Amino acid sequence: MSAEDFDVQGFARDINELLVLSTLRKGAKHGYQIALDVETESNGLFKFRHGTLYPILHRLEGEGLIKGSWSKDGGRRRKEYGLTPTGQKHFSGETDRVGDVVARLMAVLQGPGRSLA
Amino acid sequence: MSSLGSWLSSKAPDGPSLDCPSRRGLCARTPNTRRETRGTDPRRVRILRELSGDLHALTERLVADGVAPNEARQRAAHALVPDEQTLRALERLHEPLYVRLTRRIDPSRLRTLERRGLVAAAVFMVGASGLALASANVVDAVSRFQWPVMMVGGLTFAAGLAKAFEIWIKGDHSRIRRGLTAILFLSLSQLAIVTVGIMADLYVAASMVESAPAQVEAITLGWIFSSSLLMATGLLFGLAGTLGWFVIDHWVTHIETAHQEVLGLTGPDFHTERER
Repeated sequence: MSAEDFDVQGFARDINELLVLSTLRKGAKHGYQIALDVETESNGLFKFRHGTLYPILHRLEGEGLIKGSWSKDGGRRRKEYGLTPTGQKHFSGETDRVGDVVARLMAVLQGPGRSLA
Repeated sequence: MSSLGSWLSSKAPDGPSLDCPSRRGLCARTPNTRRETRGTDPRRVRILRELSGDLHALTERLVADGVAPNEARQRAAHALVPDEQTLRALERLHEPLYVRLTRRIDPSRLRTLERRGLVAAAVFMVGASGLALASANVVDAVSRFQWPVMMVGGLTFAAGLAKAFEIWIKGDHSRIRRGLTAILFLSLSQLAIVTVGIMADLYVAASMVESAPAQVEAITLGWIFSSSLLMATGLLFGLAGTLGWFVIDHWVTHIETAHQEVLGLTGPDFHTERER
């Protein structure tokens, strides 16, 4: 990854998208369940507030990384999202990329000559 | 909830976007230009229904976990109801193709172009009908009410086209009911003109028969011909307009119901299953 490849502004959004993809690896979920799971699994560190989850879900769906399907639950229509094979592949690649970015960041923060391990 | 309320009743204004500032990394994927093709609901209705389903479920879940209903509602709304910026981002994701293609054109110029296109379509519609009549060599034999019917038919067509364009092509829901009554009024006007026209022509024909009894057959045949043409044209335009009004009105009601569903879930009238 070269220096031009990294977009600082987009990194936070990338993390949010990865969190969504990550929680969907365990199976299809409704929007609110995704939000709850991300919050629970990160011990409250990551929270989706004010519906910020929906643009992420709709963008990922538009890009074919997740697939939404409607179901009826107690007379109410609900939309459930599941990870697509493309999304699964994308998740693996992006996880590696984020890991690399974090490793580099830590290297900078810890100063020259200090090992990450 | 004012941000949601304003979004529900307005077209998305220009605003900050959460779209990728660059096309790299995660952002280097396919641009979000794919339109949702599944389902018959308008895009906005699908978003609203998804939101209302999740709001309801999360509130119920929190209540089941022992959170007080009011607190549960507030927490669910806080987590799931989009704020102004998020709503704009959501709108941008679902922007109609037409809006994306015409974004670079000055709005006032675009409005002028749209109006010209609409007038051209209406003129074409009336012109084509007039030419059809002229080519059939029946212009001299038609009722004097034929032309008002065709004019009103053209107006109905223009009004219906404008509304359909606004809702389905532009995706503009800011004044969603504006002009709907006009479509119905114009459609019914045609039927009224046809009825009055046939009756008036009948009286004229009767008076002509009275003054020239020898020509009763020709006069009667003339009246039957002009009335049939008037009725066929008026019914065609009138029924097409009424059908158009019905479809658009049904669509608008569908969107409004979804709006109310979400507003109801976030407003004071919403009660969880347990409260009921």
